[in-house]
Amino acid sequence: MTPAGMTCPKCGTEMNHQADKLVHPTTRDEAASMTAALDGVIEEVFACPSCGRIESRRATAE
Amino acid sequence: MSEHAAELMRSEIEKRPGVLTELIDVGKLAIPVDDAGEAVKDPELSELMNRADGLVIVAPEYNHGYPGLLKHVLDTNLQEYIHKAVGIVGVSAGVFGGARVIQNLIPVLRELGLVTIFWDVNFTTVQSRFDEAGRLTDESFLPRIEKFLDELFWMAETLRHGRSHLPIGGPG
Repeated sequence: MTPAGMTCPKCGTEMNHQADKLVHPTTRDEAASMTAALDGVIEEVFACPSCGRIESRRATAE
Repeated sequence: MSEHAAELMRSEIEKRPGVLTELIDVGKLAIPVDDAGEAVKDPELSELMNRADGLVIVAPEYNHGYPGLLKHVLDTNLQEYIHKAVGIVGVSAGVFGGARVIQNLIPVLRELGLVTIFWDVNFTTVQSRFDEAGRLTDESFLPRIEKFLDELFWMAETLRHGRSHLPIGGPG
């Protein structure tokens, strides 16, 4: 999974990677990258310790 | 009648110090119905959900389930909900007080990433619980609401700390 962090777009604080959510693929490429065991793709969810903002992004393989 | 219950919940929440509350009427949101999910995300609702530490869902029960409009609106967000606290207030004209709508909502909320508390509020025979002005006519509901909010606030604060400071999978 993606090792890099995320900076809060609202206040610039380094965000905390607080969750990995299994979601359905939205593109053919994502669907093709799925494994039978995972049966979905990972959405990485981050929270800002300063302002509480939530952001997310698709995880990418290293 | 659910509106009276929602207003009561808001007024009880606002009695607690340091809390900002927004009452969202899903019936007044201009969300398209020709698609679903995040494809019809409402930016203002998304921002409200992003700022929220917890949700109270006041849901009437129809045919043992939740209103389709409530599900449609809930589905428009995802990342905004994850690891946030939610409590459910069931409302019904009968004696079960929305118990079945609560049970049916729980798996939906779990999949959205919300964390349900174990206290509920059940407004049984809601037509007899409020007067025409929306005032609660049976104060025996207040201690239960207090318990519900005690747990919701504990969960919201705990999860806020976790979201902000505890990385998934542990440090490093």
